Amino acid sequence: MLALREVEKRFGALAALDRIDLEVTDGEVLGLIGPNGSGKTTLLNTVTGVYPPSGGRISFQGTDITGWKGHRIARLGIVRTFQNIRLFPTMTVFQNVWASQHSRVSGGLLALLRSRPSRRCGDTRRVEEMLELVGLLKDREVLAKHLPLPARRRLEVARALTIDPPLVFLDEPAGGMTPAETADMARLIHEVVAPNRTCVVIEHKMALIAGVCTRLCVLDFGRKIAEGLPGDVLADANVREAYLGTDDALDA
Amino acid sequence: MIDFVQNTVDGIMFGSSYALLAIGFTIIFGVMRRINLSFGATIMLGAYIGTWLHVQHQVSVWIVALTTLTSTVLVGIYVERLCFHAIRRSAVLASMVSSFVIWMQLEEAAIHLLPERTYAFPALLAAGSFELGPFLFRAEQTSMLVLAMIMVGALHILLYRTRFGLALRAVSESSLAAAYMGINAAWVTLCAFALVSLMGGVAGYAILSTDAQITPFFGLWATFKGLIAMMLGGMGSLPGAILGGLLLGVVEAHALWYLGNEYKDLSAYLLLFGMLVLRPGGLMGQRILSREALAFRRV
Repeated sequence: MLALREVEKRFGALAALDRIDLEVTDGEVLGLIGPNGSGKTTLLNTVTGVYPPSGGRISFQGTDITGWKGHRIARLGIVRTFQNIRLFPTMTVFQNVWASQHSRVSGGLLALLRSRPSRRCGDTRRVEEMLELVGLLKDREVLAKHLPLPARRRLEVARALTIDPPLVFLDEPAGGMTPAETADMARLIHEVVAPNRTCVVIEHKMALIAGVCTRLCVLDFGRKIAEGLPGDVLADANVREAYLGTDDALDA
Repeated sequence: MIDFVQNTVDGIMFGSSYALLAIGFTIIFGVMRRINLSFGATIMLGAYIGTWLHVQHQVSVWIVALTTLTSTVLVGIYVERLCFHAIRRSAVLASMVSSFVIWMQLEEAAIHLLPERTYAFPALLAAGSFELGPFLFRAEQTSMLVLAMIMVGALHILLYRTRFGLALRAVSESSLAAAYMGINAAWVTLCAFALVSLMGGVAGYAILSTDAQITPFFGLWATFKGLIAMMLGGMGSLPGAILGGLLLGVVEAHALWYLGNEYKDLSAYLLLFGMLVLRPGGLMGQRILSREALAFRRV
């Protein structure tokens, strides 16, 4: 599905990613974990085209996407959510999902002026189904900025899924959430996001990681220090040492 | 009373052009979070190229109108490529300064084209007027209002009925999120520049036709009027831009009538000053200034 070969990202003298090799296989839920500053979000940003890698190759379903711009990568089928949520704040819940589904314009001048599909046609049903799945149908006319944090994260998930991407990256989907809200998010990932697609989750909260991930990859100081089944990885001595002295208690 | 109504009507007609200018600033502020100071100069150079064709090659007024619009769009695209696309989004101050530098560059280009200061502007419509009851309507101002209404109507359809409009609104809301939904934000921004340049070209053409003359200072003038109208209405709000433009036009018309020509511009600045003191976000936009901060605060 997604393959990283010796991917590097340097910011000045700092190697945020140090020759990362990573293979994401079809249908899995890969947990990307590591202490703060270990390079998880940098990895995600590099793959989704926020910035190009300093070295190495990235390929997705056989296509080399190294150095592509974000919107091209998104159109190819890699969609992400953001650690600090990026919704369309003054659009309603419905419009957020609707806009994501219908605003991709291709380069041609004619396509630009093509009329937006009417709200009355069947397409609204897809948006409504998606909102139903994440439990936001009752809030469909609420402005995105007025939603509480857990609902905003669910809306981001709905927006990402509405264009039916084969690969989804979730960047700290339970960031800032209470344990109960985290459990809800874990259920959402397990029941709605993971089926029929591949998923990479960046997270600190072990409650979520242990519940949904089929495989884990651990980063520390920009290097991959462990990879494998959740049980094996969390028992690994290197991993425990990497987390020692940080806030991110592994047993939480 | 009749004077008051007449002034108000005149103000609304002229203010409709201010509204188009303000919409130009507002849309660019929306998609880029930046102010394009060279917007007025863009329009001025476009109109200068039309005037130059007329002076040097005696082309018809229709060609002048067409050239004014197309060259304004081309100059707008040039400004976007050179000043906004080339400088990354994060460098807000650098792009503000560079838009000022480009303004100077466009003004120099216009002076090179036609070195004398003032030229007669070849208008499409001959000056004329008609009466309706006790009120007098000037033909060129009436057509200005009609043109502005057509432009605003077309803009509304474009923004709310087409995929491009949806993409443009998505980029205005959050360009990062839009990009990762597959929208080419750079392309949308370029199209937005072309779009507002076209609207600015129409407004500029209508204003210059009314003035019947053009000088390089038109760039400064148009940037001032557009910025004031935008600030009056509220930064980032399209209805605000329209309201701000009309309000500015009406206040100027009354000042012209009751106080005299020398107080017309002063009244506009006083109005802006008062608005900034009493309602810093403008008529429609009191929450827009801190929109991003608001949107991500945990409720």
